[in-house]
Formats: sequence, C-alpha cells, structure tokens
Amino acid sequence: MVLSPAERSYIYNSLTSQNVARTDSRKPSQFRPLKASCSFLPNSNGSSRIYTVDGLECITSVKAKVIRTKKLNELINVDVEIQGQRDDSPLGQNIATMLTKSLIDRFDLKSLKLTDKYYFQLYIDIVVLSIPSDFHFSSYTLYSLLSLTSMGVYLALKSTKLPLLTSTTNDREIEEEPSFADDWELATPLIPKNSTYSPTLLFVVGIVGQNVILDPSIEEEQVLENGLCVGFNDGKIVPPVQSVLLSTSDGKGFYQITMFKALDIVKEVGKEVVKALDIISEQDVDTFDSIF
Amino acid sequence: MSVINISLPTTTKNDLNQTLDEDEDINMLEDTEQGPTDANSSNSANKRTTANSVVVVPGELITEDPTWMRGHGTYYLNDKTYSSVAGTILKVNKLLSVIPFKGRYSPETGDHIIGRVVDCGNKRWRLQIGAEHDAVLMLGSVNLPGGVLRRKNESDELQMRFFLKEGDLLNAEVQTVFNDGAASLHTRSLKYGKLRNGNLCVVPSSLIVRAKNHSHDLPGGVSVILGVNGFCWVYKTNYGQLGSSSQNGAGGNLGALEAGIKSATSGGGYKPGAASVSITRLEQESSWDIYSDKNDEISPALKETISRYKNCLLALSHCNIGIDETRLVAAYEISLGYGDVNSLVSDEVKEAIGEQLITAEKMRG
Repeated sequence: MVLSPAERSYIYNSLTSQNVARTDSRKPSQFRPLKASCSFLPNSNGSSRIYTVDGLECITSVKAKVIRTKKLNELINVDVEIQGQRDDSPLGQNIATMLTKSLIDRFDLKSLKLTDKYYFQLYIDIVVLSIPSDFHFSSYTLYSLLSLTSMGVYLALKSTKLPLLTSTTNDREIEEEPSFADDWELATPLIPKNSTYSPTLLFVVGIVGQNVILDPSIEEEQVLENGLCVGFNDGKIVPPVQSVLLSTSDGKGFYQITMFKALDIVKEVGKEVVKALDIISEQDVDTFDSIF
Repeated sequence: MSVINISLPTTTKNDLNQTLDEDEDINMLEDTEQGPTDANSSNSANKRTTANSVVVVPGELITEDPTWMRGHGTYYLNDKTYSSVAGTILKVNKLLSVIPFKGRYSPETGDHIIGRVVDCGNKRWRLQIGAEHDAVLMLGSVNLPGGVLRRKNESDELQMRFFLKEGDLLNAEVQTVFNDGAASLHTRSLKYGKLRNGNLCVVPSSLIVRAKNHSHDLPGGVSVILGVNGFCWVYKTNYGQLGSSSQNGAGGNLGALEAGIKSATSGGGYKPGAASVSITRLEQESSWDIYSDKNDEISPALKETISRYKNCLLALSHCNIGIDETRLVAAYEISLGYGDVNSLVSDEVKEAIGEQLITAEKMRG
C-alpha cells in the first residue's frame, strides 16, 4: 500500500498537529485491540498466540533443553521466522537479536539452573504469520513487529512449565546427569506466581514532528519520521533504547525532548500493558472445552 | 478508557449462539434488499425449498438432480451438485449458482469504485481495486487539462505520471468488463477523478449495497464515497457549490461545477441544461487543478468527525451489516452517544453500535 500524496499529507498533518489526531481515532498512547491466548501448543513447554485486528499474527513457542555449559549468556536463543521472508532477512534477524539481548540482560538465570554443571537452555521460536501482501513494495518496514513479538514472548515465558528435577542439585563432587519426574502435573512454572521477575517488554514508539505515538498502524508508519524501541521492565525503562527505522521514506532526526516524551509515554502505559498481559497468562483456557 | 485491550480469542458457547442469532437478523435484512432477485428465483421452479434463500456451506450437497446446469460457486461429483463456497443459492431457470457471502469484488459495468494506481504503462494505468485482476484505466478515458474533447497525443503519453502516478487514489466508473473479469474504467465526468481531503477505509465489498448514487454528503460537514468495491473515501465536503464563495480562481469555480453536478445527480435527477453548461465550462475551467495533490485546510474537529465516520464504517463491517448512506448516518448518530471518539476503537463498542442499529431498524419495521 503506497499512500497517495494527498493521503500522506492528511495523515502527516493530523499526526504532527498540536493535539494528535490519529486517523483511526486512537489516543497517542492507545493500542489497537489485541487477541491473545497461552499454552495452546501441546508439545512445547510454553506457547502463546497473539494477533492484531489488522491481521498480523505471532505464534511463539518456548522449548527447554538440558545442556552442560558455563556460558550463561547462551542460555536463551530467539529465532524469528516471518512468513514470505528469507531466514536471513535483516528484519527477522534484527528482531531476534534485539529480543535476545533484551531478555538476556534481565533474565533471572537462577531459574534455569539445574545443578552446578547443568542448565536449561531455552529456545524461543517465533513465527509471524500473514504479513500484509504489499509489504515488498511498500515504504513501511514492519519493525513495529518488535512490540507484538515481545508481547508474544512475554506471554509464552509466563506460561512456560519445566519438568520437576528429581535428582540432586549438587553434582560438584559426584558426576550425575539430571533426571526428571515423568509426571507432567508436577511441572513447575519457569516464572513462579510469587516471583518479582518478569520478562522485558519492548515498545515501539513512532516519532513524527514533536509528537510521539504508540503502536503505529501500517498507515501511520509510512509517514513517521523516526521510531524508537524502548525496553520496559518492572516499572522502569531498561535497555535497549534504540532508534528503529519504521519507514524507508522521509526519515528525520529527532530532538532530545521528543525522546524523553517517548520514554514517558512508555513509562505511563507499561504497567497497564503488563497487567493486561498477566491477566491473559493467568487464564488457562482449553480451546476445545469452551466451545463444545 | 484503558490504553490496551487484550482479550481471549476463544468464543464461548453463549457468544457462538449470539453471533448465530445476529447472522440471522442480518440475512433477513439482506433479503429485503435483494427483493428482485429473490422474486426471480421463487418464480422459477424451486423444488428444494419454499424459502426465499437457502444458505449453504462449502461441500454441502445442493441437489442430486443432474438436470440442473451448474453455475459459479458449485462443483459436480458423481451426478451430484455441491456448493464450493458459503453463500446463498441462486436459481435462474435451470442454472444453479451459489452467491458467496464474502469474496473478492467482481466488477460490473456502471459500478462506482475507488482504486489505487499501481502501475503506469503503455497508454494506460493499472489500478488495484480489490478484485481478482487489476483494473485498466486508458489514457483516452480520462479528462485531461484543456477539456474533454481533446485528442490525446504523444506529449500526453509522456506526461502520464504528472496526471496520475503510483499510489494515487481515484474514483472512477467501470466502463466495460472483459471476459476474464478484468475491468476497464473511465473518469469522464467531473464527479470522478483524484481523491483529496480525506481518508480511505476498506470494508468487504459484499457489504456495500449497490445504489443509484454512491457519493453522499453527510451531517457534520463530511462527505463519503462508498465505492462498490468496498473502498470508502471519507472526506471534507466541498462547499464551493454555494457559488458566491470567493475561493481562489479556478479551484473555486471547479468546486462549484462539481457541486452543481453532484446536486443534479443526487437531487432532482438529470437535467439536460445543467450538464451542457458544465461541459462547455469544463473546457474553460478544467486545468491542472483536477490532478492536484494538495489538501485544503481541514480543522481538527472535522478530522475527528472524519475518523468517527471511518470507525462507524468499520463498526458496520465488524458486525457484518450492509452499508448504505442511511445506516452510516444512523451509526454515526448512535456513536455520538458513546462520547469520546477513541472509545470507538474497541470491539465491544462496535458490536453495541451494530446491535443498536439493528434494533432501531426492527422498530421502524
């Protein structure tokens, strides 16, 4: 979808005006409605599915593997596959790297520790389905997927369960391979309910003129001058805070004050987003039971 | 109003029953609109059922009688005819076809549609109109600066991109439909042409009710073009029609011209005198202005109204209700009751608007 010059200037002028008027009548800090559910993949430790009304869909699965390692920053692997894109496409790889870094930075690695030598390694696989068909000849870059995928990862990690370790946790003197209870009912959540830790969420903020908007739609993305990816964890702004290219046309720099505006808006909505996601992750709905 | 609204995608039993009920309502509404076609089908030999329309799903057996001719939306296996789409059965004499509820837009001659230029080629533009094939707009079927009756020469061909370029939105009429379903368009009237001063909203084409007139002036200083292909353009009403307005030069006059034609088509029907005046004036007045990309000044309040109408269109499409002018205005009036315009984003409000609209129509009968 290439916008016509008249549409472009209409949207641009609406977004840069004193009181931001988004074309879909959202407030600058309002998300589009999302649908999400958890733990629907039977053969992975944790999973989530999240999609927007305009059809972008993201499925995330978390699988755990036992490895013997000392390199703790290799314990989390994120892989992003975008439908219709090559595996080595810069979009997918960049999203994967940013997600990995943001997770590793703050991850509660103790929860992955089995014994002194063995750890759980998490493989987080993300599939993005049904990207718009005109993506290849449009000026938007879909880096706004960062926000959606990170919500997907958040939900998947929250729903992840790991098998219960039955062997001893101390193998410093005696070599022993870890063994697990074969009853899946005994599995423990990766992030216990009472834990204060939560995975880092990434927000994509669009910058246009002096204004900032959250969750830019594809239409809006094409007139944005710049974008900012902001991490949020535990009520605070955390790394990465990084500029992302949301549109390949009309890029511009931004002032320091605009960046602070972006950080403020994330701080403002972050808690509510976390709350909304937590409510979803606590609802363990069996899809089949609820319909039939 | 919360900043984020995440819900579970699963439908519960109650929801499912509710949506089924709603669907029935809507089908009933659509039946009344499809009066003439239904009358045809009930006149023809309708052995299977006495109801006006039968809803079938893909793979459903329609008839075992091999004498029926199989039309669109059906397939044939072991002397039996099955439906290949979800839709209603249409029987014309011995031809049996299924009209799908949803699907791509299929152009028909005379349709008023909106398209986006995707390609600029040999004496023609290709337009994306949401159909199976892109539509063709020949250089010969547009109005060029300097009057309608001018022949197109090579210099026009060379500057085609100055008239219309990739990404441009315009409204046009389907002139002919080729055998493969591709459409050829024309913009040989002042009501067609490039679109400005507004915002596009795309809804399923099956929801747009075909009518005599597809461009309407709505309350709130907003106009809408409900393209038959589901592309709707919501824009600022052009008040140049009042004549005395002192707009700058040709633009104002052109606005008056367009408005004159609009009022002739929407109001008292076709008046020969008015049209002939407009054609002679067109030669004098039509300049590069009709291909302008510049928007007029639009106030924030008007932008809010435009986005409200856009959300009303989306609400109607969310509830699967056929869209026409009266319903859009009704939805707009209902939506005013929900206060702030950003509340219209949520699905619950959209559904509530749809429900209120249906009950209001039932009350009126």
